[in-house]
Amino acid sequence: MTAAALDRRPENRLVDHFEQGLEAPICLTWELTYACNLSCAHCLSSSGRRDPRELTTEQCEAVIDELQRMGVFYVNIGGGEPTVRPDFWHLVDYAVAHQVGVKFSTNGVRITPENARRLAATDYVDVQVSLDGATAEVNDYIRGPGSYDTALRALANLHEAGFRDAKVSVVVTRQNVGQLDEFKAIADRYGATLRLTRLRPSGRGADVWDELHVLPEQQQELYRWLVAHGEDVLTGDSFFHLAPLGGPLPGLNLCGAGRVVCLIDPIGDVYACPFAIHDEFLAGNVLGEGGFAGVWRDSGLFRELRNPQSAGACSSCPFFDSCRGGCMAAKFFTGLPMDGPDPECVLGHSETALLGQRSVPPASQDHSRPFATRNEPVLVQLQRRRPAAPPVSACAESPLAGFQPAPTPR
Amino acid sequence: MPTPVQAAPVLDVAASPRLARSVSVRPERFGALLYDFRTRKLMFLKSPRLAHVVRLMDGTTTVGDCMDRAEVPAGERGPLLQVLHHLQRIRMLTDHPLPEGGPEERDTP
Repeated sequence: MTAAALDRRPENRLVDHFEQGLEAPICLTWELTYACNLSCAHCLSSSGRRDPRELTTEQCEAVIDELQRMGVFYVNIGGGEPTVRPDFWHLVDYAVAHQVGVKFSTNGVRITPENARRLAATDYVDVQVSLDGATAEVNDYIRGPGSYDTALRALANLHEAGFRDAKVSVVVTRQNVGQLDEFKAIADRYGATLRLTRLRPSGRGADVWDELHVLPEQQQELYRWLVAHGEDVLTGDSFFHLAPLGGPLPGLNLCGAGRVVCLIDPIGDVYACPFAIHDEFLAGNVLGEGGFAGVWRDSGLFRELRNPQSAGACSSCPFFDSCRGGCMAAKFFTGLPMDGPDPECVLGHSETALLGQRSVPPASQDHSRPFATRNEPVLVQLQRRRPAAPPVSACAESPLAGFQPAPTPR
Repeated sequence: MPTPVQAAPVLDVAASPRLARSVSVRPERFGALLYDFRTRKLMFLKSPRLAHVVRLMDGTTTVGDCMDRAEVPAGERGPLLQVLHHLQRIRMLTDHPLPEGGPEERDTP
C-alpha cells in the first residue's frame, strides 16, 4: 500500500472529516473593526464606520485566550482596516505571546517603516496587503484614489525592513483578470507571494457584483493561469468552482463554512464564513455563555452545516464531486437556491436561474459611511440614454404632442 | 533491514527525530493537524496511529520503537514512513537534539 492509497481509503478521506467539522476551525477570520479609511466598492463587510459595540481590548484578549485553549494555530485578522484600532499592535503581540499566530489583511495605511521593522522581527505574524489592480487606474477604480500608492508603499516598507514573504492579496475582477502576470511581477519585486481570491457578492460586493465578476471566457483564462502557476500562487482555496474546467486546483476543494472556517465580526458575532455576514448565517456571539468554543461546537447552524448537504439540482452533474455546488455565500447573495449551482458555475448551469425571477436578500448590517468621502471610489459607467419617445419641442402645437398611447391589450 | 520496494522515499526506522519547535500539534478525530509557524505550512496526519507515532517521537526514541509502542501493523509501516519522510523533508521533523543534551546528531538525507 502506498501513501496515496492510504489517503484514498474511505475512513481517510479528509473531505469527509472536514464536512463533519473539526474540533476547532483551521481558518478563522476575525474582523477587528468595521472602521476603515477606505470605502472599497466590493467590501465584504460593508465597512466604513466603527460600531460602538465593538469588542473591547479585554474582550479581545479573552477571545485570544480561548483560541489558545482550542488549539487554533492562527487567526486571519481583517476588518474594516484592523490597523486603525488603537490596540491593534497590542492585540497582535498578545496573540503571538499566546501561541496564536496572526495573519492580517491591510490596505497598508499603517505599514510605516517602523511598523514594518516590528513585523519583520517575528515569525508568527504574516501580512496581506490588498491590491485589486496591478496599475493605479484599475486598483483605484474600486478601492478609491490613492489606495494603490498606499499598498505599494506598504509592500516596499515591508521589503526594506526584511519582512519575508508578505502576501499581495488580489480579488480577481473583470477589470484585473488580464493583469495576473503583472500582479505576479509586483509580488516578485517585493519578495512577496501573490494571493488571488474570488470576488464574492457579499456586503457592498452585492451592489457591484454584476459589473465586476469575471465573465465566462475570463474564467477559462483564470483557470489556465492558476494551473500554470499552481504552487507559486495562493488562492485561499477559493476557486474550487472552476474545477470542472479541467480538474481540481491544489488545495481543499470544498466549502468549509462552519466546518473548517468561520468568522468573528467586530462585535463578537460568529458567522459561518467570512463571506457570509448576514443574519441567515449567524451562529452566536463570543460573549455568550459558552464563548466562542460553545458556538463552534454547539450552534444549531454549524451542526446543520456539518450534516450531509443536499446536492439538489447539481446531483446529476458529473463534476459535483470536484465543485460540490460551489460557494454558499455566492448563491445566497445572488438570490439563488442553496442546493443549486454556483452563480459562476463554469458549465453555465446557473444562467437561467440568474436571468429568471430571484430575490436578492437585503443586507442585515451596513457600516458604510452615510456620505461619500473624498477618496471613495465612484463606479461610473457612461451610458447612452434611450428616450422612451421622440422629444417634443416646447412649441409643438399638435394636441397629441407628447401623448403616449397605452399599449392595447391583445 | 531489507530496502523497501516502494518508489517513494521513506524515513529510516533507526532515526530518532522530533517535531521542530516551530510546529504546533492539534489532535483531531481523523488524526491530527500540524502547523509550522516558521513556514506557515499546514499538514494533516490522516490516521490516529500516525498521530500517535508523531506524539511519541521525542528526539531520543527511534521511529521503529515509536511504531512498536503505537502498535502500528506491519502493513501500515511503509506508508507511514513515507509520510514521516515528507515531514522531515519540509523540516517539520528535525534530527537536531534538544539543547538539554539529546542524542547524537544524525545526517539527514
